[in-house]
Amino acid sequence: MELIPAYVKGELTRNQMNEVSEHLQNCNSCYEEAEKWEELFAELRSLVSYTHKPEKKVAQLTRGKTSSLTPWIVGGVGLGVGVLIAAGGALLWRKK
Amino acid sequence: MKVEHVLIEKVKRGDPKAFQELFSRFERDIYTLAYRLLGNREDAEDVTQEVAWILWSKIKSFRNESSLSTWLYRVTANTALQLLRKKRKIIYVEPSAHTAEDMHLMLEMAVMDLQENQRTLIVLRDIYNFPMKEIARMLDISEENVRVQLHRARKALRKRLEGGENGGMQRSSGTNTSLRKGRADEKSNE
Ligand SMILES: [Zn+2]
Repeated sequence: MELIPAYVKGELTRNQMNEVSEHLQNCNSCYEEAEKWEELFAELRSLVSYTHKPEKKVAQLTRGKTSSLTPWIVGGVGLGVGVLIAAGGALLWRKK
Repeated sequence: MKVEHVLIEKVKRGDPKAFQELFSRFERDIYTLAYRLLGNREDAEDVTQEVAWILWSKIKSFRNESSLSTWLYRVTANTALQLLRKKRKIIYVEPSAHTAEDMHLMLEMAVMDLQENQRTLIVLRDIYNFPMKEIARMLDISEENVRVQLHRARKALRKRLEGGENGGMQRSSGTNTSLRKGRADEKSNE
């Protein structure tokens, strides 16, 4: 049944939710299907707490001058515009 | 949480050390979301950098009514999607040197292996739990369209995972860095 994943995620209208719920009570194969989706969604959700480490520390991503007086440019490669960081900000991206 | 609020207040007053500490709490989360949306490290690092700047420059407008992580996830997703749109034609997913080690890694690899628009939807909705409305807004498509495409994406993911048992996952691309389980209290995003 096509509505099962959206049902498991609670994305359907109230009427649809009721319909699917009723169907699941009477149809074993759809019920099992719903269980599989439930498991998959739980696993996907758990990925939130599995994180990657940036290869470069953000501290090392900066380019340009690090003079404490000159404002400097942090590369916004691909973002089009470089981000201008005021002098005071320069400290921030150094490594601890 | 309380410590975080203290940090936020300090950052609002322009304390760079507090900023560094605050940002380091979220750096991996920001980077990971960006990586999952963009599929390569360099772009994810650029986005992380950009989000650092946004956090520093916009923190005064952050109100404590939502959690900072929710706010940062939203900013990160928007920034990454903006980049994705600009680079649409040349986006590639880095091939991974890893083989699937465990369920989480294998699942992530399957997600990363989806075509771009499907990956985007799974990441935003099923991993990060953004509301449907917000996803529609972020991608500038109708909610109905989100529903339809999300359904396809979910089915495609299931198919990949089920093919995985007989080696279907072999050519998966995905993480070059290993996954780290975060602290339980970092988990919430809503
Ligand atoms: Zn049925």
